[in-house]
Amino acid sequence: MIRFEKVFFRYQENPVLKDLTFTIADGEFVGIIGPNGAGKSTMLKLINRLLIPEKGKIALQNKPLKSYSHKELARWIGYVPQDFSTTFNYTALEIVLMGRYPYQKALAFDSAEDIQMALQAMEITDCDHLRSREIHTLSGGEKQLVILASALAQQPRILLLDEPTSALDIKHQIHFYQILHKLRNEQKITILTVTHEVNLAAQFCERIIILKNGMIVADGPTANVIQPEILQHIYDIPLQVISHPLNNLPVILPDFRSS
Amino acid sequence: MAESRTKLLFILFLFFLLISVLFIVPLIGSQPLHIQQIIDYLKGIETTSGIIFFRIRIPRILLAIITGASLALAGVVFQSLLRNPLATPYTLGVSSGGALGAVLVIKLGVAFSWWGFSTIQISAFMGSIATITLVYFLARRQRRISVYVMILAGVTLSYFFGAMILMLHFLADFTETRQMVRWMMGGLDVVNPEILWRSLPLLFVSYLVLFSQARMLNILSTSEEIALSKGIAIERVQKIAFLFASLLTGLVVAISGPIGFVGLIIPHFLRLIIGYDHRYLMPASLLLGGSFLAICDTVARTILAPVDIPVGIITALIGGPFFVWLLVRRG
Repeated sequence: MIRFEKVFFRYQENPVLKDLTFTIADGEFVGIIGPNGAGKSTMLKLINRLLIPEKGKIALQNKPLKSYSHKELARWIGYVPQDFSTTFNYTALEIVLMGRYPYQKALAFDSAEDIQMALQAMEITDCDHLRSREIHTLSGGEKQLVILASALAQQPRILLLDEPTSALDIKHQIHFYQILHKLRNEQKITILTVTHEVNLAAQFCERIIILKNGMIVADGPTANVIQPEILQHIYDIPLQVISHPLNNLPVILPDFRSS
Repeated sequence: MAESRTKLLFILFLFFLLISVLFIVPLIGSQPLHIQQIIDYLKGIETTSGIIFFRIRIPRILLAIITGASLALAGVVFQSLLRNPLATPYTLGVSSGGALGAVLVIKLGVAFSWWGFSTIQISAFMGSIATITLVYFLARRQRRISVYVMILAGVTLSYFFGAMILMLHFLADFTETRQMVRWMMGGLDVVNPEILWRSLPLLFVSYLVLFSQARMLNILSTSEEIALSKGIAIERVQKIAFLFASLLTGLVVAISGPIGFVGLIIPHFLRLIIGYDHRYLMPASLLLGGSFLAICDTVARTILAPVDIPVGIITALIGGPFFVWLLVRRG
């Protein structure tokens, strides 16, 4: 469980999040959407303690986030950044094994268990065939699967994803979200994903939080939030919401050529 | 070379290479040595070959080994810490600060010695340490060190110290200038073997501390965000790695002068062979760095014998073309 209470954060003079309050229950699959600069990524980074709030309280499992050590926090939360690039050309398996760090003794080499957990994580994300490939030789889609596996090697109860599919084609986007869906169903992992792909979020997330100007403007079950009035107001464009003919989930359809 | 067994075997090979270098390379030199005399020396008989081998060449080769090893290891650490494959042990101004310290006492003509270390060595070491302290405090931000500010501060200070060194050159007379230039070229003449033994504890502690950070450096060298999300206390790792890599560099620069290229080409060459994992890369760099500089020094001693060429010139003459070859090959 994650709880934000009146969390305030700013970069220099610009407030990015203004008194944010919300709760995420265990096992929820939450999509965080909203226009550029709304504070979505900042919110994720606060949960992962990549950033520290100026005011307000953040709690994880009813304990203040501050009370967790670095390694403890890494055993709870896995993080997938928007795009991962590295100067040094590690192999995919080496990158995934980095996720075992919070379980390892400082000097030890990787144990058989570490390697087994890493390979298992790569199987879950369909990238075990890439294990000995160098990271610089992977496509954008393959790289994201490796990074997801590296986060899963931490055996986290919560996964934070910051626009994980923004550089992927539609097939790889769907594949990626199907893996998340499976993780949520089979391992009961809590998932928070920041995304601009509103239709993907509408298909896979059960709850949508919409942020604008550092405030929550809508929060609730997907069907209640994906409404034309709300989205038109948020994105400031005319649009329709229709039902998907196969599963009746909402699909957003902008009025592409209207002025 | 993906298998960890293969990598360990390669490191073992580098270890035996270093041992062979230590005992074979001192046999080469302008003065031919007689093996029998060297063996006699071990039995307590004073022989010319024995004295040259044990009292002159071995200490010098040892100095070459610890200098090369330290520079190669420091190169690995700075490259991953700054996430920049072109970083060297000197990128952050350690050598310029050391050079300024050395040149300053040459100009002032101060001469004393402490615990076997000469004025120039002490002053160079203090110059290095003052520089990295300054760079550290300039680059320190809330909760972490900014590597961008660190590089900028280091490069800026290098240029600034460079100007001060030129000023001192300009004010110096011919004897002083020659001494300054000679120091800047780097050299491995052992005036007092005692300082070798006295430096070893600090060197070995630094090696071990840096090795202990290997896995953290792996993760930190990808990105700070990833490192934090994997549970690494990044500021602590940055501090430890920066402090001990700088100490190593400062110490060997003070003793041997700023010898270039070792810290750049050894790590790059080894990454091609055993990959990027610091748990293998660090010991491999230490071992190969030592052998490499010992061999370069032998070339420096013999190629124009009896003239002793500064070893920094040889490492640059070998290292420059080699590095270009690496770039062309990969491009």
